[in-house]
Amino acid sequence: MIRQTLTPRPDWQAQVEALGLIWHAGDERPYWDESACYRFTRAQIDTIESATTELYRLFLAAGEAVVSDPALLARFAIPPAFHDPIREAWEAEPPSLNFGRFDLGYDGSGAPKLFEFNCDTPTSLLEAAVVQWAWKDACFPALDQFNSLHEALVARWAEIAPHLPSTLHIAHVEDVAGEDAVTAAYVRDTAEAAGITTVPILMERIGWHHEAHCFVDDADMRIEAMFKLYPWEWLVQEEFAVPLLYNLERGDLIWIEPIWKMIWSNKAILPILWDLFPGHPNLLPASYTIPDGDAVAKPLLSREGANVSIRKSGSILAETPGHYGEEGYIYQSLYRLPEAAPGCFPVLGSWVVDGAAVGMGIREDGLITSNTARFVPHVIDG
Amino acid sequence: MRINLKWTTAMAAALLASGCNRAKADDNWTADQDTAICTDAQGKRLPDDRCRQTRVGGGGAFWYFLGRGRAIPFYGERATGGSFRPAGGTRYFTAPSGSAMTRSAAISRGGFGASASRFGSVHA
Repeated sequence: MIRQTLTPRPDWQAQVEALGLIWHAGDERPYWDESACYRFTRAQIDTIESATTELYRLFLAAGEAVVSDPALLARFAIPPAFHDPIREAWEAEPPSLNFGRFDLGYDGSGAPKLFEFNCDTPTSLLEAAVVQWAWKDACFPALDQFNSLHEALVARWAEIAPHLPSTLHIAHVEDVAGEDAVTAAYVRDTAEAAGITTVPILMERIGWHHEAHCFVDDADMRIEAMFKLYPWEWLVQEEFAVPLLYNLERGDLIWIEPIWKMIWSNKAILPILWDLFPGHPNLLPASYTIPDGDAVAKPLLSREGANVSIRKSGSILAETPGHYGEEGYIYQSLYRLPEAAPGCFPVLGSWVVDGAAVGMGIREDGLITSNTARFVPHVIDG
Repeated sequence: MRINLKWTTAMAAALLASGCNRAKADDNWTADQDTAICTDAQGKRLPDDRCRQTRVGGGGAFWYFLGRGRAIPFYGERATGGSFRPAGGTRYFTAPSGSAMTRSAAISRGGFGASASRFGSVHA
């Protein structure tokens, strides 16, 4: 695992915009950063792939433990009214993409360590699946890349298509950078590549039909299946929470991802994993109480590294701002990220689709990977 | 790898063309010319016939004058951004017939999406 400095393509902005990546700028350095890349050996990729597959196995076990034990589920700060729908969805396994991104610490040797699993609304999807592949084809055509993410998404849609209604709605919110809108559009492309008819909708335009007792789209048509780029922990707290609960009880809308993803995407799962598999080489010690040693405090539900703090010897070394934390924190042992270049600490995002390791994206930032991180592409040598 | 990015690139191009400066989604009609609509005293829209059939102010129906670019509300919803007094020297048109409708009372919208404005990012 070597960080190599490169000269960006002279027209790199136009190149990545042509693929949809319009949020490539950053405050100080570009978000899409092809002034460097990471080079991996095949053996290192095998290690990352194996760790990803193994972590998925651990999450299956942890999920089973949580739905089987009300005391564990109570740790997740999920409104109790939604506990039964979560358990029922876990058991029923409704159709889902079941995709996600394991964020891993890795220094090129030893075992990759899990930081968290982003599997409800994982982004950096287009960058990982499409843009870095096109960069590799242009800059290193003879080399390989750990990346079959696009094909895996299309294949997964094709697998579940027979279980979906005739139309799949794809929902998102408008964001200033356009990242949500384009990522949702990319998900549409992957679904349509599998032969699924899609209709886009903004989250705020979803309607609740009080007489038909169903969610409807802009044209007042019933929504029967919906991919939502919008986290479950927000859905269950918003104005439509009561209709949502009713809808989940009726079970006549296929939510993608399903509500059971609230377990895996919640950082309360991390201490449970450590309790179930203490000393596992791909896990970091984690607890609900402040440990004696150096640790990272993470809100149960924060996004993009918000409200995360690094605590060393009882004092806070670094922390990120944000609006999270009301629901509580977990504490994870500090992993010393490699400093690949001055101030550049890489975190691997290892993608999984229904249990299979299918690709990787790398983000660089300071000690805490947040919304200021830069996406840096990678290649495999040999 | 051959990838069809029809929706991805179309969305990206649309956002770039708009300068990523998008107004909040709004399903109201927009007046493409100076427009007069009929409302009650609170500014809630009524069918134009209510204003035509009665003297000005009679029966609680009043003409409300919207400038070009203002939203034309559904029946029963409040008009904003205009005035009960026409601007001097301005010729007002009636609203397009397609806007003469009532939003389905059986459907509520806006019950999802509020958290995004509070927390700022859905990304994980």
